[in-house]
Amino acid sequence: MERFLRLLGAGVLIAFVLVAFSPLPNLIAALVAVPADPGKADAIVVLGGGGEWPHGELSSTALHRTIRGIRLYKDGLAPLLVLSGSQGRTAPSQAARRRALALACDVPTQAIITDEQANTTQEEAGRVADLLRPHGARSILLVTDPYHMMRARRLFERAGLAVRPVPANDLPDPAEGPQTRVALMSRAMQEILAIVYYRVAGYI
Amino acid sequence: MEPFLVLVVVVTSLGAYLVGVRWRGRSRASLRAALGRMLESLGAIVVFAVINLGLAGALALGVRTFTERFVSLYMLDDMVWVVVSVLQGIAWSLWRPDH
Repeated sequence: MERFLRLLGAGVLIAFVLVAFSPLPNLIAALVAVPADPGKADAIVVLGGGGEWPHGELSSTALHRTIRGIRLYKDGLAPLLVLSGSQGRTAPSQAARRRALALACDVPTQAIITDEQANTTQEEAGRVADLLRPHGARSILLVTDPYHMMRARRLFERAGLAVRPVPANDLPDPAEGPQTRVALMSRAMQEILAIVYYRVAGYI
Repeated sequence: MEPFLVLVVVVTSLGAYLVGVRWRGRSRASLRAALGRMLESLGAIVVFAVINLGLAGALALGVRTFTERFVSLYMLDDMVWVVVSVLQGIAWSLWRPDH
Protein backbone atom coordinates (compact mmCIF):
# COMPACT_ATOMS: atom_id res chain seq x y z
CA MET A 1 0.00 0.00 0.00
CA GLU A 2 2.77 2.48 0.97
CA ARG A 3 4.60 1.73 -2.27
CA PHE A 4 1.44 2.35 -4.32
CA LEU A 5 0.80 5.64 -2.51
CA ARG A 6 4.41 6.75 -3.06
CA LEU A 7 4.24 5.96 -6.79
CA LEU A 8 0.90 7.77 -7.05
CA GLY A 9 2.33 10.74 -5.13
CA ALA A 10 5.37 10.87 -7.43
CA GLY A 11 3.08 10.75 -10.46
CA VAL A 12 0.96 13.60 -9.14
CA LEU A 13 4.05 15.66 -8.35
CA ILE A 14 5.38 15.21 -11.90
CA ALA A 15 1.93 16.01 -13.33
CA PHE A 16 1.72 19.17 -11.20
CA VAL A 17 5.13 20.38 -12.42
CA LEU A 18 4.13 19.69 -16.04
CA VAL A 19 0.80 21.50 -15.66
CA ALA A 20 2.12 24.52 -13.74
CA PHE A 21 5.41 25.04 -15.60
CA SER A 22 4.93 23.80 -19.17
CA PRO A 23 2.58 24.60 -22.09
CA LEU A 24 0.78 21.25 -21.59
CA PRO A 25 -2.51 22.85 -20.34
CA ASN A 26 -2.64 25.05 -23.46
CA LEU A 27 -2.18 21.99 -25.70
CA ILE A 28 -4.90 20.01 -23.92
CA ALA A 29 -7.29 22.99 -23.80
CA ALA A 30 -6.76 23.47 -27.54
CA LEU A 31 -8.03 19.90 -28.10
CA VAL A 32 -11.30 20.73 -26.30
CA ALA A 33 -11.78 24.35 -27.38
CA VAL A 34 -13.82 25.24 -30.45
CA PRO A 35 -12.80 28.29 -32.51
CA ALA A 36 -15.25 31.06 -33.41
CA ASP A 37 -17.22 30.92 -36.62
CA PRO A 38 -19.45 34.00 -36.53
CA GLY A 39 -21.85 34.78 -39.35
CA LYS A 40 -25.51 35.44 -40.05
CA ALA A 41 -28.00 33.21 -38.23
CA ASP A 42 -31.65 33.16 -37.17
CA ALA A 43 -30.92 33.62 -33.44
CA ILE A 44 -28.16 34.17 -30.89
CA VAL A 45 -28.28 31.70 -28.00
CA VAL A 46 -26.37 32.64 -24.83
CA LEU A 47 -26.07 29.68 -22.51
CA GLY A 48 -26.45 29.99 -18.75
CA GLY A 49 -23.53 29.38 -16.48
CA GLY A 50 -21.37 30.86 -13.82
CA GLY A 51 -24.37 31.87 -11.75
CA GLU A 52 -24.57 35.10 -9.84
CA TRP A 53 -23.01 36.52 -6.73
CA PRO A 54 -25.00 36.60 -3.47
CA HIS A 55 -26.30 40.15 -4.04
CA GLY A 56 -27.49 39.40 -7.54
CA GLU A 57 -24.64 40.57 -9.76
CA LEU A 58 -23.87 38.30 -12.70
CA SER A 59 -20.66 36.32 -12.33
CA SER A 60 -17.67 36.95 -14.58
CA THR A 61 -18.54 33.95 -16.78
CA ALA A 62 -22.19 34.98 -17.09
CA LEU A 63 -21.21 38.57 -17.91
CA HIS A 64 -18.67 37.55 -20.58
CA ARG A 65 -21.24 35.38 -22.32
CA THR A 66 -24.04 37.94 -22.12
CA ILE A 67 -21.93 40.80 -23.41
CA ARG A 68 -20.70 38.62 -26.28
CA GLY A 69 -24.33 37.84 -27.18
CA ILE A 70 -25.35 41.50 -27.00
CA ARG A 71 -22.44 42.50 -29.23
CA LEU A 72 -23.42 39.87 -31.80
CA TYR A 73 -26.96 41.25 -31.76
CA LYS A 74 -25.68 44.83 -32.11
CA ASP A 75 -23.54 43.71 -35.06
CA GLY A 76 -26.77 42.63 -36.73
CA LEU A 77 -25.88 38.95 -37.02
CA ALA A 78 -29.29 37.70 -35.86
CA PRO A 79 -32.71 39.22 -35.06
CA LEU A 80 -33.29 37.23 -31.85
CA LEU A 81 -31.32 37.01 -28.62
CA VAL A 82 -32.04 33.99 -26.43
CA LEU A 83 -30.81 34.32 -22.83
CA SER A 84 -30.80 31.22 -20.69
CA GLY A 85 -30.15 30.75 -16.98
CA SER A 86 -32.13 29.30 -14.12
CA GLN A 87 -32.61 30.87 -10.71
CA GLY A 88 -29.86 30.39 -8.16
CA ARG A 89 -30.16 31.17 -4.45
CA THR A 90 -31.72 34.57 -5.06
CA ALA A 91 -34.51 35.77 -7.34
CA PRO A 92 -34.76 36.79 -10.10
CA SER A 93 -33.25 34.17 -12.41
CA GLN A 94 -29.93 34.57 -14.23
CA ALA A 95 -31.90 34.85 -17.49
CA ALA A 96 -33.90 37.77 -16.06
CA ARG A 97 -30.72 39.54 -14.94
CA ARG A 98 -29.22 39.02 -18.37
CA ARG A 99 -32.39 40.36 -19.97
CA ALA A 100 -32.13 43.51 -17.83
CA LEU A 101 -28.54 43.97 -19.01
CA ALA A 102 -29.54 43.49 -22.66
CA LEU A 103 -32.38 46.03 -22.29
CA ALA A 104 -29.94 48.49 -20.70
CA CYS A 105 -27.80 48.04 -23.81
CA ASP A 106 -30.77 49.00 -26.01
CA VAL A 107 -31.64 45.54 -27.27
CA PRO A 108 -35.40 45.78 -28.02
CA THR A 109 -37.63 43.78 -25.72
CA GLN A 110 -39.31 41.95 -28.60
CA ALA A 111 -35.93 40.61 -29.73
CA ILE A 112 -35.22 38.92 -26.38
CA ILE A 113 -36.33 35.42 -25.44
CA THR A 114 -35.51 34.03 -21.99
CA ASP A 115 -35.50 30.55 -20.55
CA GLU A 116 -35.38 30.24 -16.77
CA GLN A 117 -36.11 26.53 -16.38
CA ALA A 118 -33.12 24.60 -17.78
CA ASN A 119 -30.52 23.49 -15.24
CA THR A 120 -28.14 21.58 -17.52
CA THR A 121 -26.76 22.06 -21.02
CA GLN A 122 -28.82 19.11 -22.21
CA GLU A 123 -32.01 20.71 -20.88
CA GLU A 124 -31.03 24.06 -22.41
CA ALA A 125 -30.66 22.52 -25.88
CA GLY A 126 -34.13 20.95 -25.75
CA ARG A 127 -35.89 23.95 -24.26
CA VAL A 128 -34.23 26.55 -26.52
CA ALA A 129 -35.02 24.48 -29.62
CA ASP A 130 -38.68 24.39 -28.48
CA LEU A 131 -38.68 28.16 -27.84
CA LEU A 132 -37.19 28.93 -31.26
CA ARG A 133 -39.45 26.64 -33.28
CA PRO A 134 -42.44 29.07 -33.35
CA HIS A 135 -40.07 31.77 -34.66
CA GLY A 136 -38.95 29.54 -37.53
CA ALA A 137 -35.34 29.75 -36.41
CA ARG A 138 -33.18 26.92 -37.75
CA SER A 139 -29.66 28.32 -37.32
CA ILE A 140 -28.06 29.83 -34.23
CA LEU A 141 -24.95 31.59 -33.06
CA LEU A 142 -24.10 29.66 -29.89
CA VAL A 143 -22.37 31.62 -27.13
CA THR A 144 -20.64 29.79 -24.30
CA ASP A 145 -17.05 29.39 -23.19
CA PRO A 146 -14.72 27.69 -25.70
CA TYR A 147 -14.22 24.55 -23.59
CA HIS A 148 -17.95 24.00 -23.11
CA MET A 149 -18.65 24.59 -26.82
CA MET A 150 -17.91 21.10 -28.19
CA ARG A 151 -20.48 19.42 -25.90
CA ALA A 152 -23.04 22.24 -26.24
CA ARG A 153 -22.72 22.32 -30.03
CA ARG A 154 -23.45 18.58 -30.34
CA LEU A 155 -26.50 18.90 -28.10
CA PHE A 156 -27.98 21.79 -30.09
CA GLU A 157 -27.26 20.03 -33.39
CA ARG A 158 -29.05 16.95 -32.05
CA ALA A 159 -31.95 19.26 -31.17
CA GLY A 160 -32.19 20.12 -34.89
CA LEU A 161 -30.41 23.48 -35.06
CA ALA A 162 -27.50 24.47 -37.30
CA VAL A 163 -24.83 25.87 -34.99
CA ARG A 164 -22.19 28.54 -35.53
CA PRO A 165 -19.95 28.65 -32.44
CA VAL A 166 -18.99 32.01 -30.93
CA PRO A 167 -16.98 31.35 -27.77
CA ALA A 168 -16.78 33.89 -24.94
CA ASN A 169 -13.69 33.20 -22.89
CA ASP A 170 -13.16 34.22 -19.28
CA LEU A 171 -9.77 32.53 -19.03
CA PRO A 172 -6.64 33.83 -20.79
CA ASP A 173 -5.80 31.61 -23.73
CA PRO A 174 -2.97 30.72 -24.02
CA ALA A 175 -2.54 30.64 -20.25
CA GLU A 176 0.61 32.20 -18.86
CA GLY A 177 1.76 31.78 -15.27
CA PRO A 178 1.40 28.70 -13.06
CA GLN A 179 -1.95 29.59 -11.47
CA THR A 180 -3.65 30.33 -14.79
CA ARG A 181 -2.24 27.14 -16.32
CA VAL A 182 -3.59 25.08 -13.42
CA ALA A 183 -7.00 26.81 -13.78
CA LEU A 184 -7.04 26.15 -17.54
CA MET A 185 -6.09 22.49 -17.05
CA SER A 186 -8.77 22.12 -14.41
CA ARG A 187 -11.37 23.63 -16.79
CA ALA A 188 -10.28 21.39 -19.69
CA MET A 189 -10.29 18.23 -17.54
CA GLN A 190 -13.70 19.14 -16.11
CA GLU A 191 -15.08 19.43 -19.64
CA ILE A 192 -13.43 16.18 -20.80
CA LEU A 193 -15.13 14.37 -17.88
CA ALA A 194 -18.44 16.06 -18.77
CA ILE A 195 -18.11 14.91 -22.40
CA VAL A 196 -17.43 11.33 -21.21
CA TYR A 197 -20.47 11.51 -18.89
CA TYR A 198 -22.72 12.88 -21.65
CA ARG A 199 -21.52 10.15 -24.03
CA VAL A 200 -22.09 7.39 -21.49
CA ALA A 201 -25.55 8.82 -20.73
CA GLY A 202 -26.29 8.90 -24.49
CA TYR A 203 -26.90 12.66 -24.60
CA ILE A 204 -24.34 13.27 -27.37
CA MET B 1 7.26 34.66 -12.27
CA GLU B 2 8.56 31.07 -12.67
CA PRO B 3 12.29 31.80 -12.27
CA PHE B 4 11.50 33.93 -9.20
CA LEU B 5 9.35 31.16 -7.73
CA VAL B 6 11.96 28.46 -8.40
CA LEU B 7 14.72 30.61 -6.91
CA VAL B 8 12.75 31.30 -3.72
CA VAL B 9 11.80 27.62 -3.29
CA VAL B 10 15.41 26.49 -3.83
CA VAL B 11 16.69 29.08 -1.31
CA THR B 12 14.12 28.20 1.40
CA SER B 13 14.62 24.44 0.86
CA LEU B 14 18.41 24.79 1.13
CA GLY B 15 17.98 26.94 4.23
CA ALA B 16 15.70 24.36 5.85
CA TYR B 17 18.21 21.60 4.95
CA LEU B 18 21.08 23.51 6.58
CA VAL B 19 19.04 24.28 9.70
CA GLY B 20 18.01 20.62 9.94
CA VAL B 21 21.50 19.19 9.51
CA ARG B 22 23.45 21.72 11.61
CA TRP B 23 21.10 22.63 14.45
CA ARG B 24 18.33 20.02 14.59
CA GLY B 25 20.45 16.85 14.40
CA ARG B 26 18.86 15.49 11.25
CA SER B 27 20.66 13.34 8.66
CA ARG B 28 20.67 13.12 4.88
CA ALA B 29 19.33 9.56 5.10
CA SER B 30 16.35 10.61 7.19
CA LEU B 31 15.60 13.38 4.66
CA ARG B 32 15.31 10.70 1.97
CA ALA B 33 12.85 8.77 4.16
CA ALA B 34 10.92 11.98 4.85
CA LEU B 35 10.61 12.69 1.12
CA GLY B 36 9.27 9.16 0.66
CA ARG B 37 6.65 9.79 3.36
CA MET B 38 5.79 13.11 1.71
CA LEU B 39 5.08 11.25 -1.57
CA GLU B 40 3.03 8.74 0.40
CA SER B 41 0.95 11.58 1.89
CA LEU B 42 0.49 13.06 -1.56
CA GLY B 43 -0.72 9.70 -2.86
CA ALA B 44 -3.15 9.40 0.05
CA ILE B 45 -4.45 12.91 -0.68
CA VAL B 46 -5.13 11.94 -4.30
CA VAL B 47 -6.94 8.76 -3.23
CA PHE B 48 -9.13 10.76 -0.83
CA ALA B 49 -9.78 13.41 -3.49
CA VAL B 50 -10.87 10.82 -6.07
CA ILE B 51 -13.12 9.03 -3.56
CA ASN B 52 -14.60 12.29 -2.23
CA LEU B 53 -15.34 13.70 -5.68
CA GLY B 54 -16.60 10.38 -7.04
CA LEU B 55 -18.94 9.89 -4.10
CA ALA B 56 -20.16 13.51 -4.21
CA GLY B 57 -20.81 13.23 -7.96
CA ALA B 58 -22.70 9.97 -7.51
CA LEU B 59 -24.76 11.50 -4.68
CA ALA B 60 -25.61 14.54 -6.81
CA LEU B 61 -26.75 12.33 -9.69
CA GLY B 62 -28.68 10.15 -7.24
CA VAL B 63 -30.51 13.16 -5.80
CA ARG B 64 -31.33 14.31 -9.33
CA THR B 65 -32.61 10.86 -10.29
CA PHE B 66 -34.63 9.97 -7.22
CA THR B 67 -35.94 13.38 -6.09
CA GLU B 68 -37.30 16.54 -7.70
CA ARG B 69 -34.25 18.47 -6.52
CA PHE B 70 -31.50 19.61 -8.89
CA VAL B 71 -27.93 19.43 -7.59
CA SER B 72 -25.33 20.87 -9.95
CA LEU B 73 -22.18 18.86 -10.63
CA TYR B 74 -20.36 22.21 -10.70
CA MET B 75 -20.37 22.01 -6.88
CA LEU B 76 -17.40 19.66 -7.39
CA ASP B 77 -15.46 22.60 -8.88
CA ASP B 78 -14.57 23.97 -5.46
CA MET B 79 -11.16 24.31 -3.81
CA VAL B 80 -12.65 23.12 -0.50
CA TRP B 81 -12.68 19.52 -1.83
CA VAL B 82 -8.90 19.75 -2.28
CA VAL B 83 -8.35 21.25 1.17
CA VAL B 84 -10.48 18.59 2.86
CA SER B 85 -8.71 15.82 0.92
CA VAL B 86 -5.32 17.26 1.95
CA LEU B 87 -6.36 17.11 5.62
CA GLN B 88 -7.66 13.55 5.26
CA GLY B 89 -4.55 12.41 3.36
CA ILE B 90 -2.17 13.92 5.92
CA ALA B 91 -4.12 12.42 8.83
CA TRP B 92 -4.04 9.01 7.13
CA SER B 93 -0.28 9.25 6.56
CA LEU B 94 0.41 10.28 10.16
CA TRP B 95 -1.79 7.49 11.50
CA ARG B 96 0.78 4.78 12.26
CA PRO B 97 0.30 1.28 13.70
CA ASP B 98 0.42 1.16 17.51
CA HIS B 99 3.38 -1.28 17.73
